[in-house]
Amino acid sequence: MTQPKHYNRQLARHEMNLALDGMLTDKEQSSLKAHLAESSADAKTWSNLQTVDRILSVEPMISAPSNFAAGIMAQIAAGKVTAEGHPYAVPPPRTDLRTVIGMLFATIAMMPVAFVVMLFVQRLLTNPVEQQLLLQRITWLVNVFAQAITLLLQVVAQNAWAIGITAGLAALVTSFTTIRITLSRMSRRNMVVYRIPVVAA
Amino acid sequence: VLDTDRLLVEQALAGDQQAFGELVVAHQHAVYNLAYRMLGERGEAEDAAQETFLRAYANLNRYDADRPFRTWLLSIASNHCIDRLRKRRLTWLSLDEPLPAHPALNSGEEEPEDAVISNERGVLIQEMLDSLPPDYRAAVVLRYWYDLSYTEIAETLNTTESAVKSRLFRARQALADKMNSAPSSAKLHFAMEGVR
Repeated sequence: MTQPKHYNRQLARHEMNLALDGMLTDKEQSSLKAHLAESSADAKTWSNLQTVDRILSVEPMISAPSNFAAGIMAQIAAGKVTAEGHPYAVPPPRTDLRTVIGMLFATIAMMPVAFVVMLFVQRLLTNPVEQQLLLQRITWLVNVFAQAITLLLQVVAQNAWAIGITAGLAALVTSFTTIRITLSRMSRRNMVVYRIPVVAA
Repeated sequence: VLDTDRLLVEQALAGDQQAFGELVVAHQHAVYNLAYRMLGERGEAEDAAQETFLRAYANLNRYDADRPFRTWLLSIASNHCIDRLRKRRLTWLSLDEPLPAHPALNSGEEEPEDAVISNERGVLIQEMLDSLPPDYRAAVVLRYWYDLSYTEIAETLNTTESAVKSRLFRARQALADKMNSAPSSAKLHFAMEGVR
């Protein structure tokens, strides 16, 4: 004798939906039916799902307007839509001979650049003097940048007009960023439809 | 139907525009209905359905003849509608602008009282669909209006079966929750009395 199936809420809902789609075996249906007889909460859910199923099942198909097909064929006959060159047409994958030749030329054109880069790297890795020189140049650049910032901050700290300009610039950047973020959020907002209840008289 | 579609596609690829016209006539209602259910507005649905067929025509040489042509069209339409929904921006609906009438109002086959109930139900159902995320909505529409299996929906939406199950299950739950919480739920229950 088989053990009775233990339903939790999730399993019960899963099987109710399968039952509506006719995907349960007779045995599974009997088991679900027995469970629904014991659980009033799931029986209520089952009743609601059955109502939704019945409502959707009786809604009729809606017919296209009478001149619908003629409108489409008029556009096609006027040559507005063709299999080639129309924006609706998906471009074919570029695996033709032209693509291969293009890639070959690009590879050949890149070879001198790649050669020079490889020479530079090889020279740098094998010559400690070159490595030292490169390090010195980087350090010099960082120092110059740091000195420029320090000088700017000193000028700002010592002059009231510089503080005003800096504060103005900061406010301008902040406002601009805020406006950009707000506009971006607005453009992503989903549609809101204001519906009017319609009751046929 | 499948063989007819394949034959028409071959003829269209050979330059026969009339053959493609026959494909449009054969599948226009399926594509339009999908676009309407996804987008919820007639005008936008017509645009989306038209773009679906133009894209299909422009990319006809990419159609895999082993798959049904209708599934391919629905795949293009679903993805296009999902893109449209994601790209939608804030839209204001003027109070002066009249709302489009539900198609059931234009049907002459129903009795007046039935038509009113059907129309009211249709509007409420479309409102409920509109509340779902685009991916969920596509799964629901393909399941209920086209009776596609999990596998077919997964192929159409270019995703996995488990993702389809998850979207469908969550969509149903969301619709059930909405139906119980919305003030219009009483009207919906009333409207459902006629179909029980």
